[in-house]
Amino acid sequence: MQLDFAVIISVCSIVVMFYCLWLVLSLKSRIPGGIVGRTWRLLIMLVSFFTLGYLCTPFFGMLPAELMKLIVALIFFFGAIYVVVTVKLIYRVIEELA
Amino acid sequence: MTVFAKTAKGEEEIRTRQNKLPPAIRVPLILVDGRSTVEELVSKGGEQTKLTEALAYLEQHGFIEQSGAAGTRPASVSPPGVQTPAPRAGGGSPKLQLVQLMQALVGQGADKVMAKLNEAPDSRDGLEAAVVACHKLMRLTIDEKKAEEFLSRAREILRTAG
Repeated sequence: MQLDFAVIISVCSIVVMFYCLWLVLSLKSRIPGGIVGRTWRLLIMLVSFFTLGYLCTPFFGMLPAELMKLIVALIFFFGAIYVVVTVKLIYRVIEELA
Repeated sequence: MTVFAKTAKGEEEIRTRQNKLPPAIRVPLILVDGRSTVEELVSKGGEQTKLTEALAYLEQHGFIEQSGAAGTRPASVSPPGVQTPAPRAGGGSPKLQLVQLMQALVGQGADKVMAKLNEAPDSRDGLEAAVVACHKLMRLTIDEKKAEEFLSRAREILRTAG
């Protein structure tokens, strides 16, 4: 694996993702249930999935092109789901508090 | 008149539960607000002996401290023979009943909602506003069914209290 700019960015992304995973897991105990608690479980699953996906990125150069395309597509797909879930959660919270 | 306030350790305990205080000690800690006298806490807090013991424990362990003028220690809240206001039928002030209801419904996992009740003024309007806020917070972060149950039973308590 050659250490270039892309790899450095990938490593930074992984670090940020692990921080995000730590955040969602540590907040879990404070949100035992309810609307936010339910959505939070889904967000934990998605963040865990992303962390695994991000861990693969430094090795993308070693992967077959087809597999790499599939991983990128999956990350985009679940990224879109993550955004929808987050926006809906914010929407529900605002609705509840309004 | 003795007034107790939470110390930094007491505030920390409310947030973190690191000392795992039993409910009989934790509820008085929640009720201590830096404004109510011991006598007022007793009138809110149901059984005088237990509340007095709890306050003594909390003070001894640094969770609360006296913030008013020097006066009676919690171990001798009222001198022998002097009557303190009797708790109302149904288990104390409406605020205490709401705190107890919340504890019964969600147990130990409701610091934020408990704090909302604790900080609410004792007036009917203040308590009603706190109940609505707690209901919203419960729906969002605890349990939607329990939130509905809390709302209906809390309104019953407030109605009964007049």
